[in-house]
Amino acid sequence: MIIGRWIQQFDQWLNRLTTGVSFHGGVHPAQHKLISTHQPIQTPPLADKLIISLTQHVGPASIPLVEVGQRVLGGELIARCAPPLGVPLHASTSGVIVDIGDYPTSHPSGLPGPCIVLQPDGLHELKVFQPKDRPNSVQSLKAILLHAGIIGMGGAGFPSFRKIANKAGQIHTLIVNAAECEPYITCDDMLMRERPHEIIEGALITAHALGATKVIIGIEDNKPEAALAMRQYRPMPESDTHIQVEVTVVPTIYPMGSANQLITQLTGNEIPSDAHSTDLGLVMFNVATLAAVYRAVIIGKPVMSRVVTVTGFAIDKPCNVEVPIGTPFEHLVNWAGLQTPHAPWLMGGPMMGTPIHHPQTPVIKTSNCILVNLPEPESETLPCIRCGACMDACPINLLPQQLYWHAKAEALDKLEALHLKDCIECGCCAYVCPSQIPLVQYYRHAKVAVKKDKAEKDAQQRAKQRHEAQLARKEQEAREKAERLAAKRAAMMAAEQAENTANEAPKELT
Amino acid sequence: MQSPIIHASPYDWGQQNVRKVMMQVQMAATPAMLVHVYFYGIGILVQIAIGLAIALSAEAVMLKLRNKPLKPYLTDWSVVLTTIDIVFCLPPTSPWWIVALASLFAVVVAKHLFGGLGYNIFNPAMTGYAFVLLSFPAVMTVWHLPHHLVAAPLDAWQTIQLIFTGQLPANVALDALTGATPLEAARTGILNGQGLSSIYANEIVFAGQSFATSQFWLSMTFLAGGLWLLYKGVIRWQMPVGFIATIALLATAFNLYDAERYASASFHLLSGATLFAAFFIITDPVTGSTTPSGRLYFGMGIGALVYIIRTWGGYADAIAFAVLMMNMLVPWIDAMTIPRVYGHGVSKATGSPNERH
Repeated sequence: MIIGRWIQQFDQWLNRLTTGVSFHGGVHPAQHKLISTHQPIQTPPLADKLIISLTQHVGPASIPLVEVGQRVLGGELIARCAPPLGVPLHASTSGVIVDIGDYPTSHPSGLPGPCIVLQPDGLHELKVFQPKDRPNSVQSLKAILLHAGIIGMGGAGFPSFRKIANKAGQIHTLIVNAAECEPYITCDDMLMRERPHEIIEGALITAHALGATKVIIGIEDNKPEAALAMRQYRPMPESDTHIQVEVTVVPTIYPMGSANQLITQLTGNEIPSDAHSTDLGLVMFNVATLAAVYRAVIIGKPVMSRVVTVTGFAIDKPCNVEVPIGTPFEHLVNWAGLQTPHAPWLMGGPMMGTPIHHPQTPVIKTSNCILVNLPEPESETLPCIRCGACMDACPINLLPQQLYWHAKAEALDKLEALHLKDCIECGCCAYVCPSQIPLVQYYRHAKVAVKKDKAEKDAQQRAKQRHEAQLARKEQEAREKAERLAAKRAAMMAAEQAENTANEAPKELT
Repeated sequence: MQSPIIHASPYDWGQQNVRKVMMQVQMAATPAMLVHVYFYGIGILVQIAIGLAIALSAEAVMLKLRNKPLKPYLTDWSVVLTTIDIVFCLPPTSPWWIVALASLFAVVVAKHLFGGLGYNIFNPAMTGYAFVLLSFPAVMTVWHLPHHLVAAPLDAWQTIQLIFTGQLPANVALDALTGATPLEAARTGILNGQGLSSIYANEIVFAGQSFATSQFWLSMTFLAGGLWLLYKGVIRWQMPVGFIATIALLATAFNLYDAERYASASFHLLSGATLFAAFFIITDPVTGSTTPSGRLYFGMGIGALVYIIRTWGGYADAIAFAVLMMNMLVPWIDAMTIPRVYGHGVSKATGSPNERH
């Protein structure tokens, strides 16, 4: 056991020495980032219809506040949050609400979800925004994050106000996730090159409100322009000058941008499996999220648009675009030029992206990339040869090959013992697999099976407890009844006896 | 669980595939094969041809019987690797039916009866080799001498004739061509009560331009091939390091205790199939341990068994038996050596992996 631990530490040390990476595993897929960084962030013409999904974030769907036929201004509240976990939604531009109903979404299932459809009038008339003071407390920051509809824009979609701790000073370091480790995607890169002020001011505002003393910006070394822009930016005089801002260039390796892996890279520590980063005094935000914080405070503007990378080898002019939330993917793909009509579309990168089944799927706050590549020939899957390449690639240090074995056998207890639930589905194992086994798919299935099994077992346990309680109650009742009966009988006997003695006594006397 | 749909992330695959892995191992073994031909003649090439013909046919028949598609499995090259592993262990001029039987047993019994590629518990090559070693021990211990120890080495045609018909040219005696291997000579000498120094002085295999020269160069080419495989990431360091270090440590310890009875570490490492085994046999992924420390223990176990059997057991070389025995322990080793998962066993307060909670 101890030797195993030494070997692991030696491996980690060797890894850090040779590659500079502090976490285990990782892979180096082809980057293809340069194809979309030739041009600055573009603004394509408005789409005919904006389909604004009510389920962009993690949590319950937002509740529409508008009616069909109503005219709205850009930035106007169109759906309120479902408390306490949701976020509100705002109109991306001025126009008329033409429908509220189910439309295709980018959910992995491909099923339609509730949306508000806005027909832009082309005037882009905006609501009057009220700039806010830089928040001084966690509560005021939370209120701003909530009312501006800010969610994790790196792809997680977790409402930002739920992510931060409640007490000031609990967070000492704000980590800015600028790794952007997925191949092809460059929206964060371009945002850093062109708007470093939004990101760094956003970070300073957030750090100040949280009472944090340090901001660490982790950028992969394949983005030197972005790192330079971020380093050269000098904070505004009104920002909190006591906060130390550090731009750290980290090695390019997938999945560097995974929250826990980046934290390990920057701090050397791991997030305990049963804790959150906030428990260690750390909180992480993506660059686009912090730019949204900046706009929410300095301009008073909610999230209405985002930068999306439209790229891939089936696209004529791959580039980054800033588009209103709700813009259909088809509009952007056509604008950038589609070379191959039957190429499959992805939202996100090739490692963790989700397939897009419908061209009218709209951009949501977490859509960082539309990737259209030529279809790949179907690879044939060979049996696992137990080579262990997956284990060497796993950033969580799981044993993917054993997990695969047990997932196939549905050995759920074994899967739990091997910590299946810690799998982040990054796809490194499947990427390196020489037998081209779709490993992540097996884990997704197995996770559902484990969850279902657990729910069933819990239900069984509850039923058993209920049954036992019922039995115990019945027994208790029966016992009490018996006791009562016994007491009654005893009393009767005693009375009888007393009567008998009373009857007998005179006999004796006689 | 039925096979899940493939249309889900990741959509990008690495460049590695099973075929490439197998090809890389074969490429790494090629220099050693050339050295082998230089020292022992073309015997090994003939053996490979026979072994391949039998193994590929057996594979095709077994796949057919198991209702598996021929093309992807026949071209995964794993059979070729099995054959090469067997052939390097056999005397280069052993009769054709030896390699045929070994390949047949490896493919049919060790591989396919256990479920085919990826499912076999025992190293097929070593199972096949052990089968012929146990069944025909006399043939297996007659080793062809390197050509510089032979007055008139066989030419190509004579080698082929010897392998297929057992016929030698009229003026050549079998004794003139063959002899005991250094391991065998040392073992027999010690059993007969001789000290190692006198064995080294008297036995022909240790004379001047000795048998050891050929084994040294073979070992060096295996080492070079193995290092290339390590560099390419095809094999991992734990197995060869555990194996070689264990043999070296045990040999050195006993050699220091009694140099007349226990050969030195360099003798053990450069004789027989030690370095070939270190990089080409025990690194078979299918039948080895899959965890980082498990691989080390697996290598160490084989090393210890090899030394024990060579020194006190009934066989001069013992790679095959050591590998097969450790194959049996693999499921247990794997279960005992699960690595620490990210975020587990770290300090709850700081997340530091160095302070346990």
